[in-house]
Amino acid sequence: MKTKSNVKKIRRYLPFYLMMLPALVYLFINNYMPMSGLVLAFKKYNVRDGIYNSPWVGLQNFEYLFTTKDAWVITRNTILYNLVFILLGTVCSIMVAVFLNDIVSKRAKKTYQTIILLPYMISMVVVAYLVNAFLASDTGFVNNYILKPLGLGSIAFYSETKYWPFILVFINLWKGIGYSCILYLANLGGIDPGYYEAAALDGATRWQRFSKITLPCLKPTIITMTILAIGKMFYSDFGLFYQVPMQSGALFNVTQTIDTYVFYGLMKNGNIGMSAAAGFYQSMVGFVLVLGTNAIVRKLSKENAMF
Amino acid sequence: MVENRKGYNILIHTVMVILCVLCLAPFVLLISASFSSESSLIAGGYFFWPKEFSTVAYEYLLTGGSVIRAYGVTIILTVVGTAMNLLITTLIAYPLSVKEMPGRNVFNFIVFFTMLFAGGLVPTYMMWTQIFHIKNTFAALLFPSLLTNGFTIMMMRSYFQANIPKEVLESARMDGAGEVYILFKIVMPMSLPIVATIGLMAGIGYWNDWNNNLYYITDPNLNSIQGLLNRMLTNAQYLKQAASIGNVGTSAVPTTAVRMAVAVLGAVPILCIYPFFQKFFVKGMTIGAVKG
Amino acid sequence: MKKGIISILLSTVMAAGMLTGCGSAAGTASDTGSAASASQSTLSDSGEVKTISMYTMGIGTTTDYAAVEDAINAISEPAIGVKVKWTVLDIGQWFEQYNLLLSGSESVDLMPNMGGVATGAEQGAFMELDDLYAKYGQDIAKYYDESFLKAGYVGDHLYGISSQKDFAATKNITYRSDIVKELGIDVSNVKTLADWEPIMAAVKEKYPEMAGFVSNSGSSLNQFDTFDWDTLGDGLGVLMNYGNDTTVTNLYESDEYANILHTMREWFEKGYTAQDTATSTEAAGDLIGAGKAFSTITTGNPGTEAEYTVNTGYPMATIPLTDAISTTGNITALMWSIPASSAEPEAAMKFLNLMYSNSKIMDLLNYGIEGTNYKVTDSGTYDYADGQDASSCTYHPQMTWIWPNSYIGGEWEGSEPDLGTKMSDFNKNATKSKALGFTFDKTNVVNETTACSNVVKQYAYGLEVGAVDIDTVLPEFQQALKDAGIDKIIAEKQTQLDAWLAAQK
Repeated sequence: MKTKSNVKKIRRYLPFYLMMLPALVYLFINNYMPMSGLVLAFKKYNVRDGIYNSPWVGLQNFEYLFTTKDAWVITRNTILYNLVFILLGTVCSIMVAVFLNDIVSKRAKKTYQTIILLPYMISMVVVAYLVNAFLASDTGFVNNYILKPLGLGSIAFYSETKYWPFILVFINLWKGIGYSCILYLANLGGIDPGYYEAAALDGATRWQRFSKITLPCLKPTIITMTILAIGKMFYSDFGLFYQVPMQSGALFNVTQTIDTYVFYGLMKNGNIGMSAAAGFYQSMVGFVLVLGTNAIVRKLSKENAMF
Repeated sequence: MVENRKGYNILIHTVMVILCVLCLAPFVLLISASFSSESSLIAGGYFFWPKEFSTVAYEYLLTGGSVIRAYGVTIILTVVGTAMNLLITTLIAYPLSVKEMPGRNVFNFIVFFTMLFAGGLVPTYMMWTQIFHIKNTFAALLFPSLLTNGFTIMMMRSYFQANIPKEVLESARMDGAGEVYILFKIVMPMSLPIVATIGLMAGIGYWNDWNNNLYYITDPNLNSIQGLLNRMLTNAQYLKQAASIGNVGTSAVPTTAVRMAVAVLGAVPILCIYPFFQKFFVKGMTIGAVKG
Repeated sequence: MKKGIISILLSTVMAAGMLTGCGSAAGTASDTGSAASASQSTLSDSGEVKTISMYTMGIGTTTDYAAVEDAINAISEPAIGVKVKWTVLDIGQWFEQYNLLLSGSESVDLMPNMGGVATGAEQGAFMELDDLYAKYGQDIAKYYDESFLKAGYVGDHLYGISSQKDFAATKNITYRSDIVKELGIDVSNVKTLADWEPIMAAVKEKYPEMAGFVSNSGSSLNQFDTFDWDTLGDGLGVLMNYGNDTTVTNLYESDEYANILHTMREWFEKGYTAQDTATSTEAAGDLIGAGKAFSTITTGNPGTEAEYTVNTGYPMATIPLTDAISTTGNITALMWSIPASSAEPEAAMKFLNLMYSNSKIMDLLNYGIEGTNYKVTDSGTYDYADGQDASSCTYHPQMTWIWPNSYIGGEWEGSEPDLGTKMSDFNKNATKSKALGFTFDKTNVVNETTACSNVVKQYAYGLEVGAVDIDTVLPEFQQALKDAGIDKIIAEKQTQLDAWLAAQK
């Protein structure tokens, strides 16, 4: 009896396993096989011995991430910026997606959507130049065409830390919103308009329709996106924090993140083991955070958990 | 109600117009800079129209035909890559969305784990070049970023889970439909928004990818457009550093205007294609055969 | 349950990776060994033609590499029985690929590196060249002063052979001589930084829109990374007084450094210095060329004036602020090495030797093919072939400085005449640091070095162009370095240096 039901089960689910095969094989090759390179984090890398025969050094490669005075600043910056990015990014892109979805004119919709995707298409190096065009103290647009006509003194943006948290958050939103709202837009497109019609007949206000219909429909996506973002909590957008502040040392207290610190520190040493250690540390913390978040989500509503 | 609708519309359009101005203004600055002469850029900074009009940057980029060729490589790459990505993503996302499938959590985890841990550049490079020998082949542009990680799979799976009613699938199975048939004839048509989204994301990803070009390609015939453009950017940066070591003629360094032109050439084509994807996001597209 | 999955997953993956990884790593290692020993015994004039793979950097607009490669092989094959397969990476790509090239997964027999010889040797990426050099490097030795050769040593072995270039450097003020002439200013009395201020004041009066001074390369290099001290590699612990004082000193607490900072601060406060120079990404040459600036500070050699004149399009002149000093860093800035994974190290050394001594090959590498890429003018200098210029020429890498001995080739129109001889005299007459040839091994203080590099990056750039207040920032900087462990680095450096000095006697 048992074997019979097993056979039946296999026949029932075999197509599924076959369908998954290409992607699983690919992930195994491209993602899992190189993961053995993570051992580099615990080794003193030597080309002649290769990755696997180089001598072990224990946790020595990790020391520099924790022993210095900067450790606190870089960790704080990385986490705080990410928190703000996750929070504001989600709110803003849902808002923009809802707005776009509510626009009746197809042409207006297309135009808006294409325009707000523009910043995403530009590399951070170029963004850095554009930001510089606005903020430079001698030739910058803000100083020359806004502050000067108003009779205000010019601001040396690249040496004043107080402006940068806002600037960086703004650029992150500006650059990412067009792209991240695509996903929410797709989900909004999938919502049955019948729900809204029924709600409108019942006299629900716009806000009620949003909070009672739209948000619940977007919930799975929001949760997935947030969990994913939390997994990347200890990473930072290297281009944003390296290129955009023009590597100005005076701004390090508010612009230095784990990634830029590792980059500046290792540029001269070229120590592969130490950069592997930084990557391992970031992955590990992300992993723990994701498991934790997922466990909480699971407690609150089982069907929304990722696994 | 009507008044309310009007007020809401004004609000929406006001917000969107402000947003568009914010996004457009720097781009205008960018285009203006790409058509400016180098000396006017350094002397006067950037402005919304060229202070000294010049097409030198574009002439520099477009001579020799390498840019045209690179566009060709990128277009083929984007089409092939996007199609392959969509195929294998859909094939795995659908089973993962079926809650009863034994071992689903394990597979979910296998997919998810790739988003957190990566082996790093050196081991990945050694594997692709030593075991699969993809260096200087088209495959080098295609495979290392086919699925960078499990992200798109997770997205598509969530969509299937939230938007495909179980009853539809079950009634199809009752009628004796195979899973492949169900996926391609029932699930996919109901999921055009997410298919379009992930296709778009994969497409933008391939279009903008320069890493693979940088690491795996030394044959100039296989340069992709972003690879080529990005090299011009990084060359300029490194040459300045190198200038401190030996006598490097900076006349060979692509100028600021060229860098701006590079950004324009890289971004414009995909912005032309983009509106065609958008019709898939139109509300109600999926509502056809079934209602919940 | 979950734990189980992860650990199973990890162990399978590890095992799979180990297998493949080990296989390949072992493969390369044994290949090298056998090839090296095989060639030792059989290559002795068997007449067999070897092919080596050479990687160098270049710039995108150059496309005629294949033709040049053929022309080189036509010379080298009959001469030494070696053919070269030459791969050119764009300079931007070069830096990204550098670690991959050294990872042993690529067959490279000969490549240059920019200041990477110590790191490469420590990581086991480069081959010991002592025997190869003794056996096949005779022509190199003719051009190479023995005292400079020492810089290529890491520990007890030779790992890199420098190109013939400047092995020493002065710090200069480089300025537009046409303006000085126009205003009739006498600059002959300028000997120090402070002496330069009145000149800038005069220029400012006539050209108020022009900055008197801009820093070189803005934020990517600090302005006074070198001066009249030996940086001993990274500036964290230096030898003052042209490297004559063998006590490792904290530069950032020295009076010399503070004096420079005060002068720079004065310039900045009086408005001579471009106000955004600390974060500008424009190279000084571009700014001067655009008429926005009058002078800058350069690290120089006899070729600097001509170089800047070409780059800016204005007549430029330089005033040295220091004598020439020669340190390990000046020489290792560009070195040729043979990777440890090379299968043909002997052929590679023979070819390097040939590049050093054959002027025809050097012309090919420098300028391409005569008639197609360049022509010889009536005065004997080289110039673009008829109908071509900088943008249309398909072979002119403008990177002659990477080639082993570019001075034995022809001279390009407009470059400093007879530069080879001048350079050689310059190198000979330079003050040699007592630590010339010493390379610091960072292994024991790698955490401190990482932290200190970040601190220097944070403070030094702003201070050295005068953009920040010295009285508050300099003490902060010094304290931050102390917290980051600079004293430990200095002590370690001193120990290693003393041992090295003792061994030299």
